[in-house]
Amino acid sequence: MARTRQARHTSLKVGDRVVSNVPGFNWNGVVVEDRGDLGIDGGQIVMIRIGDEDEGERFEIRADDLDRVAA
Amino acid sequence: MASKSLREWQTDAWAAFDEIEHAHHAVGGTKPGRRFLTQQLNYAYTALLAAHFQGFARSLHTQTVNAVALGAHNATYRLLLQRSLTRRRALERHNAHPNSIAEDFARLGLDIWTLADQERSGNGERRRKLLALITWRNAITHDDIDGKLEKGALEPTTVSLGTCRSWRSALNVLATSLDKVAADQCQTLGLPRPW
Repeated sequence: MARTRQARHTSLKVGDRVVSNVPGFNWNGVVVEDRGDLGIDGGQIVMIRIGDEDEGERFEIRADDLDRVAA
Repeated sequence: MASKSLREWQTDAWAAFDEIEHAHHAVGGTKPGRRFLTQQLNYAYTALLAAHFQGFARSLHTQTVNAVALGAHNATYRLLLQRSLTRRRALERHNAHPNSIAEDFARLGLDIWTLADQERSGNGERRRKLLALITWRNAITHDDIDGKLEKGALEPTTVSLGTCRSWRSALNVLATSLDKVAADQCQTLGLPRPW
């Protein structure tokens, strides 16, 4: 199913499907943990998962570097 | 100035610990059964100390990585750093064992316990208390206290309110030292001091 990139978010939530908005990365991931405003500038940090629930890669990223997409 | 991680440790975590202390007072008296009740409270206190310290260490690592990544010259490089430095962290998979903390902060070029020991005298002994806390936490949550005691793996051999207070005091100092050492490393890397 085609996905539509949505307007910039104010806050990501667990379960949101996201893509990177940074050149050079082409991810489709899902937010698995909201780490809160832990950014040095007060920005939101989220843990995302790329790939399978069991074996997918998980890492933290600034919410500003992600766009929410329609499921 | 302290990191948000340290401020949360000193507010949210301390508030949780104080609740256990208040519960201890509420279970006062000399009736039979008090000893069992307070023992369970001490075990809960132990697990809570370990859980919150893991949360603190993980958040401090997140914040330090973010500070380092923000020093990248463009967004792509920043994202590459952020991803590489936070994937498969030991603190995601294990509790706040000193080795887990060392492993994760080593990604940032930090020999964190050597620097923490240099930052404040007595931190070596406080780190041993952290290890004792984590060992007790594992025995409690895995229902293996008797087995660990038989192997001589638990030191001290009982957990009292005094033991928990001693661990809490040690963790407070360690948290402050780790916070400072992480900020120092950002400066060593040529970045602005983050907190």
